[in-house]
Amino acid sequence: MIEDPLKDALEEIAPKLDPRLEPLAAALLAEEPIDDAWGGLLQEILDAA
Amino acid sequence: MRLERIVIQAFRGYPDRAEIMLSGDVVLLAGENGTGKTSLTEAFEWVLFDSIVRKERSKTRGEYQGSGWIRSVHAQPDTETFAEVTLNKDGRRHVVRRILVGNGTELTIDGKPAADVKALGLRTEDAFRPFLGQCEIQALIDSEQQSRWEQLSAILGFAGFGQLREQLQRLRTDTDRDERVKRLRERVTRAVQPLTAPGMEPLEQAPEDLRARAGSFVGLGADAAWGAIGVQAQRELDALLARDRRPPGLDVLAVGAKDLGAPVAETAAAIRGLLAHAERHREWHEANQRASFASQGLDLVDPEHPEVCPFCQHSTLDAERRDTLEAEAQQTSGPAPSDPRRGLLDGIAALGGVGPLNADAGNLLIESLGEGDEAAALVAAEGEQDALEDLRVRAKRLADAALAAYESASRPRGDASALEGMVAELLGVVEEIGQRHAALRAAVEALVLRLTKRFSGLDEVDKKRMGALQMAVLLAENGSAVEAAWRLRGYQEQLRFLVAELEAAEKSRMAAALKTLSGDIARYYEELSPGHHIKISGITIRDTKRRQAALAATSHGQPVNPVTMFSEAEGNCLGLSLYFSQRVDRNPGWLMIMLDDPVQSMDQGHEEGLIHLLARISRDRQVIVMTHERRFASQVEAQFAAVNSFTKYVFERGSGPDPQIALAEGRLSELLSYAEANAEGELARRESCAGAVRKAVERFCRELATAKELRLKKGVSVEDMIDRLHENKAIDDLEVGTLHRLRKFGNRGSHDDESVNPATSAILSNINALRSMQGKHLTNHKPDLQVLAGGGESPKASA
Repeated sequence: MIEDPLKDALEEIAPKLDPRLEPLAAALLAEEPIDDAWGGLLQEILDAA
Repeated sequence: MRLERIVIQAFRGYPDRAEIMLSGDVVLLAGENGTGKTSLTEAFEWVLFDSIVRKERSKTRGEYQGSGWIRSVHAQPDTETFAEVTLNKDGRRHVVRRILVGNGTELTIDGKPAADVKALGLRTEDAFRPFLGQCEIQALIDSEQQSRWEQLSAILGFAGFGQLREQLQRLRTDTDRDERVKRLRERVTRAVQPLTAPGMEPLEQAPEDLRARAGSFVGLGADAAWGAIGVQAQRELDALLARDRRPPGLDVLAVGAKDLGAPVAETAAAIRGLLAHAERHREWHEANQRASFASQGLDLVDPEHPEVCPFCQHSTLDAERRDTLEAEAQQTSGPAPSDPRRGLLDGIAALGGVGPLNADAGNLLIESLGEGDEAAALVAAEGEQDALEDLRVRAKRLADAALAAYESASRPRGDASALEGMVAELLGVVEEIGQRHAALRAAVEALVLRLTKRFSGLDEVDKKRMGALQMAVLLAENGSAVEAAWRLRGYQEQLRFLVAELEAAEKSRMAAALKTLSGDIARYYEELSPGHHIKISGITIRDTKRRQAALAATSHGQPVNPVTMFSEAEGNCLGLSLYFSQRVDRNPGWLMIMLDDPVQSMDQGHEEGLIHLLARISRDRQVIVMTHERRFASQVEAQFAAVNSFTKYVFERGSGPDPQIALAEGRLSELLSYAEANAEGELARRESCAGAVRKAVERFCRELATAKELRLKKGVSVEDMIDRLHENKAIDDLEVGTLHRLRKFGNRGSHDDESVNPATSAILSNINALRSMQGKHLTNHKPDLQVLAGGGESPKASA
C-alpha cells in the first residue's frame, strides 16, 4: 500500500541533492515548509557574496 | 483513529446543542431528508478540516463566503457555534473542538490551541478524509480527464507532487525576482563580462576556471586564491600606471635651453678684439684729430696764395708739405672703424636669459619625485644654474667696466693698461660660463633622458596587459560574489533537478499506483455489482504529459466508455469503488469510514452488494452510514443488529427547528446513558428512554450470553435468552424477574394513558437496576461516554 508516494519519492531523490542543500532536503523529508529552508540558503549565499 | 462522539451546537441544521455517541463498530443514522444527518458529517469535517466537501466541490463557492453558512439561522444570538468530536486512537481519547469566531475559527485539541489536526498524526488532504459525501460519489465520472487525473492524483496521495513542483518553481522565479539577487548578478556580470567570450553568458563561467585563468595570468598559478590574485594584479597594475604617469615638469624641464657655444665664442672674440680695437680707435681718433687739424689748417690757406701763411702773410708751406697735409687730411678723415663693443654687449646679453634648466619645472619634478637620485641631481643642477647666473652678473659687470676702460684706452693718447687686465678677466669669466653652461646643459639633458626613460608611458603590449590586470583586479575583488552567484546558479539547477526528478517519480509511481488502484476498483465494483454485464476494468493513462486519465469498462466483453454508458447506479458503484479503494484501503490513519447516503439511485441488488461490502469492511473498521432510504436502513439493521456494537439513531423532524434524534439500537452502556440523559424529557423522549431500557435488557442478555459463551439460536427472543441465562445459572431468580419486568417497561398503553407513561423516576430506577447487573456480571464493563441526544441540556453524571 502506498501511504505517501511523495515522501517515498523524496526519500529517493533527496540523497541525490547537493549536500549543501541539506536544509532544503531536510525540510522536504520532514514535510515542513521549504520557503524558510530556501530563504536561509539564499541568505547564506548573499552573505557570502 | 475511530470516532466516538460528536457534539454540535448552533451549527448548520442544529440551532441548539446535540450530542451523539457513535462508538459502535457499525452505526446507522437513519431518517428522512432534512433531519440533520448530513449536518453531523459536516460538523465532523468542519472540526477536523475547517471546511466541508460540499463547499469545496460547489460550483458556487462564492456563496459560502463568511460564516453565514456555518452558523444555524435558528441559533440564539448568545449561543456559541462550535462542533466537537471525540476520537479514539489506540485506546486514548482526544477531544477536538472548533469554535466559530467571527468569520474565522479556533481549534483546540484536548483543550490546547492547535493549527490543525496533524498533531494527531492525521493528514488533512481531501483524499485522506474518512468520509464520503453525497456530492463526491459521481465526481470521478462527471469530470474532465485532466480533472479526473487531478482527483486520482489526490486520491492516491500524489497531489503533493504538483504542489511541491509549483513551490519549487515559485522559489526559482521568486529568487530571480529578488532585488538582492539581481544586484549580485549585475555585479558579477560586470566583473566577468570582460572575460566572457562572445556568445557565452557571463554567469555561466565556473569561478574555478576564472580563478585559474586569473591566477595564471598574474603568475601565481591556477590554484591561487582570489585575495592573492588581487594583490598581485594590483601591484603589477600600480607599476604600469606609474610608468604611464609622466611627472609634471619633465616635459618642460629643458625647454628653451640654449647652446651657448656660439655666443661664448662671439663674445670672447669681441673681448679679444677690444684691445686692438681700442688701439685702432685711439689711432683713428688721433689721425682724425690730425686730419681735422690739417684740414682746418689748409682751410685758412688762401687758395690763390697757398704758400702764404694766413696769419703772418709769410710763406709757410711749401708745395710738398702742402701735398702731404692734403693727403693726410684725405686719409685719416672718414668713418670710424667697426666697434667690437656692440658685439661684446650683445654677447654678454646672449649669455643670460633662459638657462639649460627650467627652474619651475625642476621644482615641480623635485616635489613629485620625492627623494632619490633624480631629485638630488635636479637640486644640484638648480644650484649650478644659480652659480651660472652669478657668473653672468659678474660678466656683465666686467663688461661694463671693460667698456669704460675702452673709452679711456681709445682716446687720443689713451692708456690701455686697465683695459688689458679687464679683458683677461672677462674672457676667463665668459669662457667659464661657456664651459659650465655646456656641462649643466649636458647634465640636464641626461637627467631628462633618464626621467623620460623611467616614465616612458606604455606601449600597446603594456596597455593590453594593463587592461587585463584591471580585469583581474575587478574579478578578484568580486571573487566571493562570483562564487556566490555560481553557487546560487547551482542551487537553482538543483531546484530544476528536483522538479524533473519529481515529475519522473510522479509519472512512474502514478502509473504503478493507478494500475493497483484499477485492480482494487474493479474488485470493489465486482463486489458491489455482482453478475452485471458491465464491468469496470480500471483507469487508463490517456496522456502523461497533459496528465489525463480515462475510465475503462467492458460490456459483454466489449470495451465501453463508463462515462457515456454507465447508468447512474453503476456510476455510484464506480464512485464507491474508487473511494473504498482509497479511503478504506489507502487511509491507514483512520479505522473508520463515514458514508452519507451512499445508495442514492441503487437498486436492491446493488444495495445488498454494498451491505455485504460494509460487513467485510466493518471487520476491522468502524462503519458509520447515513441514509434516508428505509429499505437500505432496514437491510443494514438486519445485517448488523446481531452485532453487539451496532448502534442506530433515528432522526425525525420535530415541531421546531431542532432535529429529534433517538437512540434505537446500541451497546448496553450507550442505551443506559441515553435513557438516563433523556429521562427528564417530554413524553415522547421518555418513551424513547423506555424503549432504550427494553433494548438494554436485550443487549444485557446478549452480552452476558457472549461472556458466558452460550450459543443462542438466530432470532431467539429476549424472553428465551433470559431463560437460557437462568438455566445456565448466569443470573439468579430475582434478576430473571427484574429482566422480564424491564423487558415490558413502558411497552403497553398509549400516550394518553398516564398509568403506563414511563415516569422519570421509573426510568432512572430501571437504569440503576440494569447497571447493577451490568456491574455484577459484565466484569469487563468500562464506563462509556455519556450521551445526550436531541438538543437537551448538558449531560448528567452517571448514577
